[in-house]
Amino acid sequence: MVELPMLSLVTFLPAFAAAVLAFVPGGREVKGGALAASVLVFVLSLVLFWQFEPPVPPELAFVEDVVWVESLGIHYRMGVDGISLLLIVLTALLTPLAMIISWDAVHTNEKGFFIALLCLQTGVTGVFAASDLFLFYAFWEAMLLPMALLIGIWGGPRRIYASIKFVLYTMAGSLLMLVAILYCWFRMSEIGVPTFEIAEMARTLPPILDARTESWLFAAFALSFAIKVPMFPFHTWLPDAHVEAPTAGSVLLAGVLLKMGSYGFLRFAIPFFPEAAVAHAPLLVAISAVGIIYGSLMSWAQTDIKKLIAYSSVAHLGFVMLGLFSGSLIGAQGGMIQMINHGVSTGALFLLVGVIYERAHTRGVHDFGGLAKVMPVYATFFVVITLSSIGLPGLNGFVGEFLILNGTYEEMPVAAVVGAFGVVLGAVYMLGLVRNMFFGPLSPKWATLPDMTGGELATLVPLVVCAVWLGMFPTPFLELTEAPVAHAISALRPDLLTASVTP
Amino acid sequence: VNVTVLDWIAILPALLVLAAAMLVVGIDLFAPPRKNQLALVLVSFAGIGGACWLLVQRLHLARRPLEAFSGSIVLDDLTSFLSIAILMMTALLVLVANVDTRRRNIAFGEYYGLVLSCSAAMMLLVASTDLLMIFLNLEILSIALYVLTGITRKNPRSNEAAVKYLVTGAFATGFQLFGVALLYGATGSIQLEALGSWLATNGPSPLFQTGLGLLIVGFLFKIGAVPFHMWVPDVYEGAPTTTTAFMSVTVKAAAVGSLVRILLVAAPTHPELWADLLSAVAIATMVIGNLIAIQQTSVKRMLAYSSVAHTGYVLVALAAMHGVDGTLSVEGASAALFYLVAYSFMTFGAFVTLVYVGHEAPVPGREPEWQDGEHIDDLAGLGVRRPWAAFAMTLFLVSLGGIPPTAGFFGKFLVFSEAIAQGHVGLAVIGVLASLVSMVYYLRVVVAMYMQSPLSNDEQPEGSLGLAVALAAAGTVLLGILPNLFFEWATRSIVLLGA
Repeated sequence: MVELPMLSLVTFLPAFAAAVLAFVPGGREVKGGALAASVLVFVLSLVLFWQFEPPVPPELAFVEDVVWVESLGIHYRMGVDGISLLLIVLTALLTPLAMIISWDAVHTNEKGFFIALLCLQTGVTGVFAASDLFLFYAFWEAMLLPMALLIGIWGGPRRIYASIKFVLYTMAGSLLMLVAILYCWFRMSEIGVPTFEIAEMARTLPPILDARTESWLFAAFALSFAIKVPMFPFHTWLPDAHVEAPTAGSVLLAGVLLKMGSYGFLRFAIPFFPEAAVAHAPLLVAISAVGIIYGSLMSWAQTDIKKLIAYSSVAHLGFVMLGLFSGSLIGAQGGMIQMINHGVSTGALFLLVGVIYERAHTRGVHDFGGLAKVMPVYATFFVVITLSSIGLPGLNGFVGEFLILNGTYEEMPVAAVVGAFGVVLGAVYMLGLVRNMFFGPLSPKWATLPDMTGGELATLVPLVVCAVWLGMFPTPFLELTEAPVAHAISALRPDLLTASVTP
Repeated sequence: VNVTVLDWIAILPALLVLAAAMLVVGIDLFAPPRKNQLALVLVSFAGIGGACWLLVQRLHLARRPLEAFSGSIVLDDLTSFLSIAILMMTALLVLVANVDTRRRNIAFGEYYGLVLSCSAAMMLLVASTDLLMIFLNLEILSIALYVLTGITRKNPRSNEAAVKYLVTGAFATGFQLFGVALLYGATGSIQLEALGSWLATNGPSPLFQTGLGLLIVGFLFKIGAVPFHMWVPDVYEGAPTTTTAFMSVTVKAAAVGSLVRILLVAAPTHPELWADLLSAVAIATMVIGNLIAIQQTSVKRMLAYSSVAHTGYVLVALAAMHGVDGTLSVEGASAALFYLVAYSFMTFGAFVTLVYVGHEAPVPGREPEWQDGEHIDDLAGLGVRRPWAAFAMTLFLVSLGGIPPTAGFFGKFLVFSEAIAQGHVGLAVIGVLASLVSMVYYLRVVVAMYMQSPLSNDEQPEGSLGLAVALAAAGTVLLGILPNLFFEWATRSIVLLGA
């Protein structure tokens, strides 16, 4: 039997479905087809998950390798390790949820909306599945357009501004990264290995680059990823994009697109340029810590729920970056698991905001009050997800933040203390939001708001299950990512390869 | 001079196209007007198809270069490759012009005749290996283009554009002829190879340097590089959009092809004579072209400046033939050739989409100030009214901006990787930043198409227009996803140049 190219299937099935659906007239059929395709992709991604046997880094699983442009050493190479597999599953989980939540929320050009979502999924999955730098870059850039269209066509009042800002910010970083990629390739071909294979580059590049060049290249990669993450002070596109994007766009943006940045650090920036990464780690840790505090304070000050959550993303991603660059395996593992956590919790939060916005058509923090009385189920979900987001033990956020702060404290106590303060701030603004929305006097305006519908429950239940699962039993996930994370950051701390975090 | 059969075989593809041109004019003369259009289209396609078939056969056989007419013409891979590119664009143009000439009351016999003879001249230009042949063919194609630009005789803008083009073109011709004269004076020959060996033995004399410089300046005029680009926006805007689509891509392909031949055959030993000039012009072209394009509200004019900017990327590749370490590396030229083909598909497609949009309005209106379909407001809501056309236009724009998986991305990838490999990192950085700037105005069109409310233009454009758009879109995507074949041909055409 011929082995199915599972990774390509998971990656390109959405795009293929989009191409077919483009010829289908009518909104309902397209919506149904798109949802069916994305559910199928999710099932396939679970199959991947079950069949996955952790390879020894830098080996990958489910490898596919086809020569693409021979003379330039470009291959179509796919492959996953624990890190990318988790992110692919997360993408495959969030996309159908985003579709369900948009089922009745999108009124104009529904067909285009669902097709754009499918194209976006292919782009994002491809970013995580590619193991050839050229291919990675192609996916990295290709996903820009569907996201820009999602924001720009189906977004809020300032959607065009937000959409263009999103594209220009991202491209500014990635074009400079392209120059750096080309330079790396040139150096590789100079010594007779003209390849874009990621593992090969990570092996070959560090010894042949001098410190100065390495710093420049690291800067180019880091800038691109820092914009994507986004790290303070490159975050200003994020609040605009999040506020204007439709719910589905926000969910995917927060849930998986931002992870592409931290994934890039873990997969490329650190392994390719270890010395520069070590040299710049204190700087990155410092701006991560600043980002945590800044994001939290900004969140606290917001009166628009979506903007509040957007800034909280800046803070949460600050935790992720803090963990990755802390120089401890525990911290980096925490950063990795926090990437997934943030996807689950913040994805769910954006879904919840979408739910209330559909009913009330406002997102003002102070427009609400006492909603717990009329929407008890909604309130329960909101509180659970809030608690997961602020790190209540037993839910997923706690695992990530605890590991990050624990690991960081060993190496950089000051940063850990700042980070811990950020956790407190997180509780302040999120619980403040919950109080403003759900408790206190109920405005008569909202007295007739219906509680959550079946479809909305269907989107949130899986995420709450994930939040509890990740919170109670994080070990399998930590084991899955331990070896690749250790390998990735071994550049920062060579002795880490022997340490272990899982009991 | 003995002319043998081989001589004729070497120019057979161009002759076929020329024959089609003559036939088209003849049929138009004798057959009743308005009924003969199908015949004209078929004859044109026959000529183009036959020539293309011959050239593809030759490329597959990969024979050694066939020299003809005492070494003034050569049929080699470079000739074949660029001729195929030019012919593909000509074929697409015939498809479009078929509809557009009827709508604009352009005498289509003349139009096809001019287009085909222009193509034949371009094919011969790429094949020319002596300075006089180069000059002659450049003039033939230019004169055809002057007429094609002014072919809507009652449109003052078209007339103005034609006169402007003629005057600046004559200026450029002056430079070029002077350059040819000086080179002849310096070396006593007009054959490129003779020039090359003279330079190798004697080294650059001031006379030679000046002559080469002037010759290059003439080419820079023709391809619209800054600071010789002033005519581009006016001529591209004033000409009928079909003509603009044609000349914006084919002239560049032919002129750059000829320039590559001159540089690599006549002056390969002293790349420093031309590389610095080209890289300075490349920087100015990329920066100024992109910055001015931002301010345009006419999409046609914006695309004109964008094509100036793209000339800059091509010049980066040419400048990258001269390594920082002083060596000559021909890969830059093959990157330039690939880029030209990619550029042809996407720019042609974008202009033709404008023609398509123009045909949505029931009657041609708004002349002479605007032609239909060229103002950004004409594209408003295209995504709703014509999803496929809008999708194709998005592809062209995204490709022009250099986003994968399109031809434009792979082209830029090749160009900048070559620049970096030869040590011109600064050039590459300026290039990518310039293409970031370009995204601002390409996105503006995407925004208009998808994010603004639609106009009520609901006339259905004719099928062959849609077909031309679709073919250009297919080319744009295919060159991005499967660049192998063309890249291989581009590489081979340069390698076999014997530099």
